[in-house]
Amino acid sequence: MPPLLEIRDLHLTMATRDGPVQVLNGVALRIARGEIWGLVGESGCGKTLTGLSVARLVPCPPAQYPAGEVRLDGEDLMALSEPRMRALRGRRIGMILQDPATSLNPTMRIGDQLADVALAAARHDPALLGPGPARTAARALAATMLDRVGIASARQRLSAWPHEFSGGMRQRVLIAMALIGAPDLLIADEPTSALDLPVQAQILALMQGMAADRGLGMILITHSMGVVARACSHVAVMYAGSIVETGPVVEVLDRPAHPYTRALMAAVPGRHTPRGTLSALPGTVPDLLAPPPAVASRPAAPGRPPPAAPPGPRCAPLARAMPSPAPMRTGPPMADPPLLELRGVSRLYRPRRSLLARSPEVVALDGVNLRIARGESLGIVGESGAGKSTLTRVILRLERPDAGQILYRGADVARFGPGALRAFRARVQIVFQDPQAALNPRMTAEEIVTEPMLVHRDTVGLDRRGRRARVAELIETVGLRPDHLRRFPHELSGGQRQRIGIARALAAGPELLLLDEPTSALDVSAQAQVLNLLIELQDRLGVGYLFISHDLAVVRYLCDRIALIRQGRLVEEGPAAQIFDAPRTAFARRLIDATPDLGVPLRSAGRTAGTD
Amino acid sequence: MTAGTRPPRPAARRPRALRRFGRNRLSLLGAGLVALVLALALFGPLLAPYPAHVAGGIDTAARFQPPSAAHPFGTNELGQDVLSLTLAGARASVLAGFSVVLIGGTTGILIGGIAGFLGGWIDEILMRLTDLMLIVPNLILAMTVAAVLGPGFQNMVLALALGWWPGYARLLRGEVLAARERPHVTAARAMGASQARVLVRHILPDCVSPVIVKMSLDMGFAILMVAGLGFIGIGVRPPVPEWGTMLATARAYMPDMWWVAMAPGLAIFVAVFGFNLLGDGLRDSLDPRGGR
Amino acid sequence: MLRFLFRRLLMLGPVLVGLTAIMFVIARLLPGDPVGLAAGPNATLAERAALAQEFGLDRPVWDQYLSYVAGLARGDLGRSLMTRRPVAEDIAIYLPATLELVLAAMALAIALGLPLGLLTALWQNRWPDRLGQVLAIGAISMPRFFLGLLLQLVFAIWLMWLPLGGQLPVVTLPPPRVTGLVTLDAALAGDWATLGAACRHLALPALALSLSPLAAILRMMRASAIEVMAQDYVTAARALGLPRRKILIKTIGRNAVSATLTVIGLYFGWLLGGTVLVETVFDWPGLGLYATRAILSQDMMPVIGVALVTGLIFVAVNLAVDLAYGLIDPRVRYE
Repeated sequence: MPPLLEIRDLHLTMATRDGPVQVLNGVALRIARGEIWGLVGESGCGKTLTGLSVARLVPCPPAQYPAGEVRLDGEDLMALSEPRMRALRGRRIGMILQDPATSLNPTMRIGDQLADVALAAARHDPALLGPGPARTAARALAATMLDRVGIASARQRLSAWPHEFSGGMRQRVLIAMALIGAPDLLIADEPTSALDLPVQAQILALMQGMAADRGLGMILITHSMGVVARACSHVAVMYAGSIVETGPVVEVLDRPAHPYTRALMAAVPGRHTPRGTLSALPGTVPDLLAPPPAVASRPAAPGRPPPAAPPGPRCAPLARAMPSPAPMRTGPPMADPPLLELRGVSRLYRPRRSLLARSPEVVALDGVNLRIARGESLGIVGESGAGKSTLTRVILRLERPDAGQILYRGADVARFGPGALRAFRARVQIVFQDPQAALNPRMTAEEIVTEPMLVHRDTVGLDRRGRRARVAELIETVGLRPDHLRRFPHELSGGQRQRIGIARALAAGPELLLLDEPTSALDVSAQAQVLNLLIELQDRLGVGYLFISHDLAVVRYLCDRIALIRQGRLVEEGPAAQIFDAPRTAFARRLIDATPDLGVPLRSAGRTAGTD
Repeated sequence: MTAGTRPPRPAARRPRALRRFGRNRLSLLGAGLVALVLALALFGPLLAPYPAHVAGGIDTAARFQPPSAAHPFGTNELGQDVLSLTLAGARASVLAGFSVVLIGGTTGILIGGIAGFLGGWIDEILMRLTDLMLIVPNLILAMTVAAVLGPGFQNMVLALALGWWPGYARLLRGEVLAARERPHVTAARAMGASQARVLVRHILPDCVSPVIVKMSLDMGFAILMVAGLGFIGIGVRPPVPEWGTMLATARAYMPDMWWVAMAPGLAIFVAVFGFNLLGDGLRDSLDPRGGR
Repeated sequence: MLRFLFRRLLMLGPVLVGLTAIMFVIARLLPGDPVGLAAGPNATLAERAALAQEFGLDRPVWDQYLSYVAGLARGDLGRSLMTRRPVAEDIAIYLPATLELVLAAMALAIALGLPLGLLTALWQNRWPDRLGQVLAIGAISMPRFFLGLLLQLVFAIWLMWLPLGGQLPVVTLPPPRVTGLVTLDAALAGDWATLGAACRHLALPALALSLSPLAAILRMMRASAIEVMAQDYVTAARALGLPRRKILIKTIGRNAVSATLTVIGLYFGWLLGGTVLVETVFDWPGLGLYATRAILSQDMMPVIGVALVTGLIFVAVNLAVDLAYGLIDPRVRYE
């Protein structure tokens, strides 16, 4: 009997303006009923296109399949006509797309959308709805499915609009939609990466349960080894359009054979990764216009270790000693007050007031107390919308708090005059989440890094030549080459852009960096590089961090102390180890439980993966 | 928004924008037509086969001659060569359109920029005024002002510019507000940069592309309005050839002497078509948010 | 939603006052001699003074403005120097003809623009789409008065299929006035011959007026449909095997229309104030012609009145667009 899904030697090229790009390069995979396959890799490795290719949803042109087969129960999908293929979608192959916020039609009610899918599937499988009027039966089935995916009072929710649902609920609806046609194969593309951690865990559990109940074969596309470990039975690691390693999760995570798999795993901080030990992946994801032959031509060989030796992890060379930050003009520090202190800081957002309409206020920060000592690193962790970013804006006085005080070396930031504020902003700097957006696209890297020195010409006190030398120094410090200075942001990779962002933040010689999710827009390897860089910088420059993240593991890796905030309130605070080993609140426990953990499988051989 | 999904920012693509523009044959056609119209505006009277007619000379013996080799678009009620007048008429139309867009655009940019950057009650007042001006029917406003001030080039330009600025004020305010929220502008503020530096170095460059696109599209529209005013009889003084006025005169002799209307009508169409194609191409290559 | 409607209607007051202020400033502060034009070249000084006094033109501008605003509250738009009649009555006569023209043109533009926009979006960058784009830019670039002249030449003079101008044949009595829209009144009266004649007269001017909104709606619909087609929910609908027609209409069409509505509203208002040229070409007895005549004799009360009425309709149409927007897109909240 043929397997449920068999992909054989699938090649895919994309026509672009710069010529054809080889996107998939001999992908091969066999999936049986009841198996949950994790398809894992960094962005641009071709995992999403592999998933879309199974349902033949990649538009041709610009795409073209020069070779390969996709067989569903032995039938080659590549040879089917478009109408016959359409009959399979939704009915035999269910799909869940990445972002639940955008995957539902915003102008149709939930129930109608579900019923439409059921009706479409029933055209090819009348047994699905049974006898009686199809529309009624479809709505009944929709209600049943909503109930099955854990949406309370499903019948009433049929008439809800998508925007009335939270992200997690929408993802549940999408799962219901993907399963309403009773498919045999489910393809889920990053179904949880847009969700908060605890919701991620729930959704993964739901998908596991549904797959087990129905004997589904499932492909779960993800960039996160943590998700694979949590939810999958098998894993296929993709790199540059090819699958480099496959096997049961327990085996692969415990004894990764391919160097890329090993590197990928070592780059993810776990709950107990010791500080400074993450290994970044060498280089970047290869340019697909010219794939490196060593990887691209290697056929996927399940279970067999590939012959080539791994390239050694490249560590960014770090600069010679940096000059310590110029002393503040305000004189020597007093007898150790905290560098920065927040006292009962609150911030409300009032929607635009008008004469006749009154909307409720949104509480972004609610009486937050925090202290950061010199050179300390404090991690702030919370879910999306918890007020994390507002915190940085309020500290920098980009917004005024509605209540409370922010003290910098004991002085109230709110009372700073223009000069003092400028000096303050030289000493407390910020690194943003999205390095692409945070760098002016019209300026070269050199102009970007130079700008703070121009702004603070009086305190930095460097002439043109001095600034040049300092920029060269900074660029080396953050692990870039001098020729990167001439480039514009769009000519740099994500990780390189974030290094420029860090170099800019360091340029005026700050004592404290506010890091607002600086790695969440980056791939795991770039994240590992940036995290290691931050640790190096701290050890060498003694700069303090306020590190904001939604990822507890990342914060744990970097920070001395951790503060958890939820809905603008400080929930728990303490030394990192204490939070992890003895959490005091349920919220902390929930966050910790939801944090995926690979440990460091290369070193802890006794660990059984895929069971937590 | 993650780095992967956001559209690339304008300047990041300046060289690419140029290439993209060059690849679009329609944009090139538009640029060509615009170049032609500009050349006519500069040298039109010199190219006219009958310069005497352009200067106001008449030839009553040759009234209403249908198109022929000597007069490809025929002659009018005064025996003047329609082609000559049309070629010479480019100057008034283009110059008027250009002045209107420049004056109206500059005013609107100043008002919108001030409103967007300063915010508060200044913004409130300026934008309420802008909204009001947007409600006033443009053509009626222009006709009224032009009629009260009397015919003449400057009066017509003034009349049109008066209703022209609100669009730019809206556009620029929106752009400034959007730019102010962009992380790279926040970054500049967070590093302690002065207001002036933030505005000049970080906000204004972001607003340039949409303004250029709008100005180019508006040139065509302004030429249409100028011709419209001429057609109603409120415009440039008669001896100066102008397309709208020529059409209005031609209409009186319309059913039988139809050719008199063809050259000026087609000239308006070609000029406007050129600017619209150009503006469309610019928008596609500079400002992918609009259009497509 | 009711509260939203109420608030928007409440804002009409300030808008009206602001509009009259702007028009007053322009009409009264600029040099001009309306009395001289109305009284005629042979009028004596005393006659002119009497005329000025009768129409209140001898009083200071702010005084005139105040009494105008006071009159506005009673629906009084002042009196025309040119027709010597109340402006409100004049507008009641001329407005329906313009409305009829604009409604017909917009109906045509919407009925053709939306589906064509959706289709060209489907054919994106293939030859029918490219041709459609060129034609649309051409249509926007075509001066409406020149187009009107061409249509007259071809259909009225050479082919003699349709009448040259006017609202009805000279010999036809207009149908009993109910709405003021001749086509509608004829249909209400059951007078099919008159209805046919009215439609034949309406065809050319409506066509001339509709071409540029048609092109604008087409282009906007195409652009937003292309944007919608790139959305995840369209990919999701395809991945779940929905039939093509359902995806096209329910998923793409519905979401793309909401963005196009704004353009429709803008053009509606814009046409109302811009029928002048087409009315001139086709001798269509509408507001535009009335306003033109008033402007040429510097008779400002009718001009202010026309500006007010068209401005008011513009605001009303945009309110309707906002409401329609909410019907199509449930995410819109009226606050």
